[in-house]
Amino acid sequence: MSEANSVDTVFDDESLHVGQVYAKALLAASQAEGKVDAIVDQLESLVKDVLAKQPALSAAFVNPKIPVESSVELLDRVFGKTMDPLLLKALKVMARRRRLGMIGSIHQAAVKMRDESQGRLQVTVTTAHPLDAAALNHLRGKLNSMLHAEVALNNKVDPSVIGGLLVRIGDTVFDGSVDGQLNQMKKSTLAKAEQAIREKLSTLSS
Amino acid sequence: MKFNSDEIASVIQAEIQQFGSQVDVREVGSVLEVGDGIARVYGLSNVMAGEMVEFPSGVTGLAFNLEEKSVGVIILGDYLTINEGDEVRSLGRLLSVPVGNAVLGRVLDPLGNPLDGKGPVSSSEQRPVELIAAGIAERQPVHQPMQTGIKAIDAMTPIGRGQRELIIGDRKTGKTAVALDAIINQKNTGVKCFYIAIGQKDSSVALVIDALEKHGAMDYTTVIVSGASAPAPLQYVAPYAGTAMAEHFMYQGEHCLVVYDDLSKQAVAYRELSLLMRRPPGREAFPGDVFYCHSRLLERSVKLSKELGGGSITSLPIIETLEGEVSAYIPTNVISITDGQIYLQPDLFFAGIRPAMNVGISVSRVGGAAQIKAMKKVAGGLRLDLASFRELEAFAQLGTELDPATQAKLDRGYRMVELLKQQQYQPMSVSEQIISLYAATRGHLDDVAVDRVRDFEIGLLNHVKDRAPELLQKIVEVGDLTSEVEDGIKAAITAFKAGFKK
Repeated sequence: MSEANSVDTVFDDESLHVGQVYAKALLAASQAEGKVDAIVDQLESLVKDVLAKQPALSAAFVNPKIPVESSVELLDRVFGKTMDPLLLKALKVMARRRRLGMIGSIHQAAVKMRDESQGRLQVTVTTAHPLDAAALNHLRGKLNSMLHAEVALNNKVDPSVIGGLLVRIGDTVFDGSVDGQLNQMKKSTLAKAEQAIREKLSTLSS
Repeated sequence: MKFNSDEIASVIQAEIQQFGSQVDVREVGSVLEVGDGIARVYGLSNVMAGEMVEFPSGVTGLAFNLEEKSVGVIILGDYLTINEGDEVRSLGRLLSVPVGNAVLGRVLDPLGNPLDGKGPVSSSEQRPVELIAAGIAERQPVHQPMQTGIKAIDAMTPIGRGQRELIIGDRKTGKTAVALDAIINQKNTGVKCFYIAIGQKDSSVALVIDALEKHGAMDYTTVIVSGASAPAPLQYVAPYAGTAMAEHFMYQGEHCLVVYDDLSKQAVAYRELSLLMRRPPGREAFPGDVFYCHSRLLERSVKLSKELGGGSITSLPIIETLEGEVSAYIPTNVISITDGQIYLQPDLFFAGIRPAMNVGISVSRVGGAAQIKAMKKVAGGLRLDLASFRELEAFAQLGTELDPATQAKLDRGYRMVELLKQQQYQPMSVSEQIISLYAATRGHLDDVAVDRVRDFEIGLLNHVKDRAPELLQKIVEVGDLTSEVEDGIKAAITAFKAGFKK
């Protein structure tokens, strides 16, 4: 379960649900203290910068042989000084309930909920080469005005798009890539050619 | 035949020159898992139930289960070409099949792709596979006969245009044979036929197609095949696809005959899908809505009102029972949906009574409305007479001495049973049926030996065809058993009998 959602296509219904419940509680608590962004950012850095790079730590999080008290102490020792006390408390609650392994899905759910409540949109832009800051800013401005929302851009690099942009907002993809257009052209040309051959056939046979 | 490659190149060139770059907007998801003809997809948050989706390999699917966190898709095609993580796009339309005259005479798969090697189905029209049946205001009562050409059926369980008549029986009791005869009998009547083979051996489907071709029935028939090796989703949609093709003709005022061979296999395919989709199993592990699966299909067999052209779809669903168990789940469901059933029994079949119809429990709820008057008069009490004959016969086997009246009844019964036997692929016209049934019910066969009854019938009909062909014509034209018609039949029988060696 520690692997939950580490790969895009691994799907764990239970951890998704648990993630949503914990994220909701965490966000509500941080809302009360007025530091939603700080907490979510810290959670993000915990998942991306610490756990991803320290497999031993994440393994310890899910190890059922480690008693609850020891993992709470471990959390205190490792994060006690640097982490926001609220997040630390939340982590301890998770440890007591043996939900630390689901921290990945909690993080994902928290980011999603924060974006929703703040009217922020996660947009993934796939390009053949990494976009420079100026281009990204320009694109962000365009998208902000078009979507009437604050856009958080993720730039993915995939040489197979050849050129142009592939913009993904939620489950909708706007395909302005050269690859996509080539595919479209192939489809329509094949259809036309097939139709032309069929018309010729009927004139031949009659 | 040769193609000029320059010509094709110029078409392609023109197409490329005209190609305007557009941004392609699509709703996507990604495949989480795939197998056994279904895929679980994450994403596709705005997809609607029953909407078509496309996989990168070009295979299409149907959104079947919309769950909180994922979408269950049934795959209509080869699911081995789909990988985990593939992008799935929704197409924003419902599953449709080609319809129109182009599908007649073809062997197609449930998506309308040709299987007979006769080239693509060039049809400009498409029709959604799943449609809600015509409502009450759009219908009229069934009143025209749909002749199957089988004496026993047309006389005792008549089928009307727009009726659903179930053919039920164990394996190898001649269910398909009845349906095939009905199709062959539609020759020159303008009725379009659809034979939908679900979950059958490809070899038996090949036999059916061969038989249809031999009897010239393929010209007005479409065969839709999803064989035993087709994935469950295709077997599940096949009957709906065939019905959609038939509906196209029906709404143009034409008449169709649809044979679903067989719906028990479709129910099994649906059960497979539902269990894979983790829908809760019910009785015999079928999902709760297996009844709806069949009722919404058979509800599409309709006799349309005059305003809508009066077209009709008559359906002959087939159900295979196990060891004569009619009270299993699927048989009872379909019996309750249809307007009657023809029950075929193995013991009758092996006793040489073919079609092996059990007269006692076969019924047609439309009844006399689907018969011409002459047939009604000739066959009126036939069903009850035969049923009481069966009782008497059982009683007579005890060896009791019988009074002459009972003995006469028995003798009549033996001859009737003999007369109702009919060879496969030899459908009879209404007037022929009326003449032979008249001869039997009015006692003209009583002095013919039982084992000579069939010779007598064949001889009589040949006699009428040779000597008095106008009589056959007249029966159809008058449509009633007037004294004039009756005299004609009597005269023909007496004339033939004079020269018949008993």
